[in-house]
Amino acid sequence: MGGLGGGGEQIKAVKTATGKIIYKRRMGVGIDMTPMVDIVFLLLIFYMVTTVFAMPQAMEVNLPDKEEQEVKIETKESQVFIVRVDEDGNMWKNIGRKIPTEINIDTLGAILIQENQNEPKLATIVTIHPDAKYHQLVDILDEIDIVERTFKQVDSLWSYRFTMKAWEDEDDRAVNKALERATADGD
Amino acid sequence: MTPMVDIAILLLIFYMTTTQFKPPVTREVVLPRSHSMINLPDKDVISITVTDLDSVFVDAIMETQTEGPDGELMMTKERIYETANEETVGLTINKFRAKLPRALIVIRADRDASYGIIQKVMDNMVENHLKRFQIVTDAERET
Repeated sequence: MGGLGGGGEQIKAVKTATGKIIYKRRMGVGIDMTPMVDIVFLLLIFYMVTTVFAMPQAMEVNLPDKEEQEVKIETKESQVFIVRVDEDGNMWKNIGRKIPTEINIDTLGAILIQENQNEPKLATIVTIHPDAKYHQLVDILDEIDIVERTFKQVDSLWSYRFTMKAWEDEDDRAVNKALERATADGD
Repeated sequence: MTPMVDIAILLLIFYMTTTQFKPPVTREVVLPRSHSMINLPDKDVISITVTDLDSVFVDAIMETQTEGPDGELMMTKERIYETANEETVGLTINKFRAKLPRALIVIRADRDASYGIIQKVMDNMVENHLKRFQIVTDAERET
């Protein structure tokens, strides 16, 4: 099919300046829209497929000053909740100097809520081994954020007391102790 | 067929106007996921990229004034990036901040980057009085 087609003949009456009526013959022009529609659909499909509505999200972080980091706060041992992530990415929790027990990220949120309910003055220390993965830090911060939002629904002034601490030899010892106990239990 | 074509063209216009092509990034990173709902602005951002191989880059989109061919002043947007490491990152950011004083500082780190490098980068930022920043994450998909 060609570009022009259909339409049929049209006869148009035109009045001239002198008052005579002339009949003009015109060919009807019809445009075949099929190729245009094809292209429109191709473009439509292209945009529909490439559009990504999910935009990256951001998490706000406020770090304390170097001087503020030196501030020492005295707390009871029973009020210190420690979350450790070792070099292999395993997560451990314990209170004070108790032997750590292994947990995973899916249960962390529930554990944090429970521990905070048991001990309103709980201070959480998060310690991550330098060889662990960065996403574990984000996972933990995210859980803490969710817990904080949960408590804020009850008390709008509630804020999560937690701190980040560098990994030390003492943390290695604690995790090793837990591993020893786990193997002893296994035998 | 006309109504269908009308709708198709309307949809096409909608998608064409709403599509924002992802700005080219210096290095591709797989972001960690979080439940955070703060949307990231698309301009005035200085981002610190940490790849899964622990290399650090600082980049930002800068508007620079240049003289066009016909003598007119033109604003051109350009992504400037600089390689840094955990000891120089704070200074590099401050250099960018001199040109973009109101910019937001964000960390785009690969989910498999080591925690150690992030810790060092953050420590260095605090030493350079950069205490407020944001971590870029992908939205968590609820299962």
